[in-house]
Amino acid sequence: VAGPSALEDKRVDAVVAVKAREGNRYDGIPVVITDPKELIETAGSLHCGSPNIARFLKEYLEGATNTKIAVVARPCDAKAIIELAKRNQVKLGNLLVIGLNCTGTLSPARAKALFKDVFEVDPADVVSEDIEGNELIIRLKDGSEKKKNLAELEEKGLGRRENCRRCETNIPVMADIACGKWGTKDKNSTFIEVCSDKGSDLVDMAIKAGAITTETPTADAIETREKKDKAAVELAQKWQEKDFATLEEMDNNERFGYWSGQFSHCVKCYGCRDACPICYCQECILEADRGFVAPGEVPPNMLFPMMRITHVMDSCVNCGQCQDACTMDIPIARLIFLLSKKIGDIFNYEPGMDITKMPPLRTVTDQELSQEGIEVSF
Amino acid sequence: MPTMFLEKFNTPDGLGHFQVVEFKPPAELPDDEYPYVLTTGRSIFHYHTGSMTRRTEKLNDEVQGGFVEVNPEDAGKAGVRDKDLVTLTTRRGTIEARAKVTDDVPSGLLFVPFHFADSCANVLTNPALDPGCKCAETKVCAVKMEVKA
Repeated sequence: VAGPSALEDKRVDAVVAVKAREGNRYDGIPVVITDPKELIETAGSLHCGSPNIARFLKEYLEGATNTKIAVVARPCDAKAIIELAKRNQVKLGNLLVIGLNCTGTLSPARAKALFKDVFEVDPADVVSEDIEGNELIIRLKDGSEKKKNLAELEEKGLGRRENCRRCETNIPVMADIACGKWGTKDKNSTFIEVCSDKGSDLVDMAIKAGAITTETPTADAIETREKKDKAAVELAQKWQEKDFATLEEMDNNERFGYWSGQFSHCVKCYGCRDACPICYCQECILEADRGFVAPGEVPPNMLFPMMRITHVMDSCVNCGQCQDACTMDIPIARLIFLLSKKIGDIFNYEPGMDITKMPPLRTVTDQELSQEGIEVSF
Repeated sequence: MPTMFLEKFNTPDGLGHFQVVEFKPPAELPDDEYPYVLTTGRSIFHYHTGSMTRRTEKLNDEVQGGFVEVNPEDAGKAGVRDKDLVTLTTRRGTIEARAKVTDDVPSGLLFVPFHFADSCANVLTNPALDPGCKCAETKVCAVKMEVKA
C-alpha cells in the first residue's frame, strides 16, 4: 500500500467493525479500531451472530456526534443507522457506512447445534459459511466442504434467523458503498457498488493509495448479481407470506387471543426495548417509576408491548434484535415487521432506505389518519 | 462431558438408594385464632434480603416494600381491599404489609416475600426444624390478618 488509509489521513477517527472474540467465530463482537494494523483482525465474515451495530454506535460512540467513524454494516444495520439519524440519534454526516451484502445470519447457539447434529462436524472446525444457490455450505479447517439444502433445513426450523429468512434487502445500497461477492469471478475480489459521493471518494482514495485495484464489471457479472439478488428476494417474500399467513388468517378475536397469550409470557425484562436499534428515549415511559405501567407486575399490562410496538413500528428494519433478546421466545419481531409492512404500504414508506423521508407516524396529519380505507389492526 | 450418576452413584454398591419417607404434617396449622396458612418466598424483582436488589433503582421502583398476597375471596370476607395496610400476626410476632389481592394464591393461603427487613416475614415463621436435615419450617405456619386501623 503506497498511500495512507482513511484512518491514517484522518478521514475517519475510528473504524467500527466486527471481530471474533478470542478467535471464537460464534462470538462476533463490535470493536472500535483506531490502529490500522488491527483492521486485519476483522477480516472474514462471521455469519453466526448478530452484533447490534446501530445501537452500539448510538449507545457507546455518541452516535458519531463528535467522531468521524467508518462503520461496517449489513443491510439491517445500515437501515437502522438511517432511521436513527432521522431521530437525531446518529450523525450521518460523520459516518462512512461500508455496506456488506448479506443473505442472512444464524444465531450462535443454533448454528453450533446445526453444525454438530446435522452437518456432523465439530463447530470449532468450521472456518467459513456461505450460501450459494440453494445450498448452505460450510468449510472446515482441513479444507473440505460440506453442504446441505438450505430450504430443507429451514423447513425444519433450522438455518437462518427468522427475520433474516424474510429479509428482502441483500445489497445495502443505502450505505455509502455496498460490498459483496455477487458478480465477482473469484474469492479474492469484491463487487463494490458505489452508492454515494462519500463512497465514491473513498473508493477513489483507496485506488490512489494502491490499497485496491479495480476493474469494471462485465454485463454478465452485473446480470449474475441481479439474478442472485432476485432469487434471494423471492425466497424472502415466500417466507414473509408464510410467516404472516398464520397471523393474518386469524380473525380479530383469535388474533387478540393469540397475542395476549404470547404477551402473557412477558417477564418484563426490557430486553426487547434495550436491543431495539430504533428505541432511543432516555426516560422511557415504560419504566416502573413513570406511572404508566403498574410497577411490580409480571406479566406487565398489555400496554407494555403495545407501547413498545407503536413507538418503533413505522421504522422497523426487521433486524430481529428484539426477538433474539426475548427470553420468553415471543415472536415479537414478526409482529412489528408485519405492522411495519402494513404501514409502509399505506404511507408508501420503506424504513432505512431514504434519509430524506421521515417515518410516517412522526409526520402523519389528522387528515391522513381520517382517510377512508386506512385501517391498521393488530 | 460426563454426566453425573449416569454410570454409578457414590455408594458402596454403586446404586442409588431410595429412602421411605413418612409424612409428617406441618408443626402448626390454621385454627380459629390464626385462620390462614402463611407461606413465604420470593418476588421476581428481588433476591433474598435485597441487600443488592433493593439498592438497584430499577428493581426498587418495581417493588419497594413488603406485601402480602391475598385471594379475593379471603379479602372479601376479611374486609381487606387491594393496597390496604394490614397487620399479620402469628404466635411469634407481628408485621405490617400492603395487601395485594390476587388470584395467584388460593383461598386460605397468604403469601409474604422475605426480602424486606422492614416487613420481615421471618418474624412470623415457625422455627420448628426438620428432624433429619434441620431445615426451618418457613413455608407453613398459621397466621391471622387484620386491616390496620
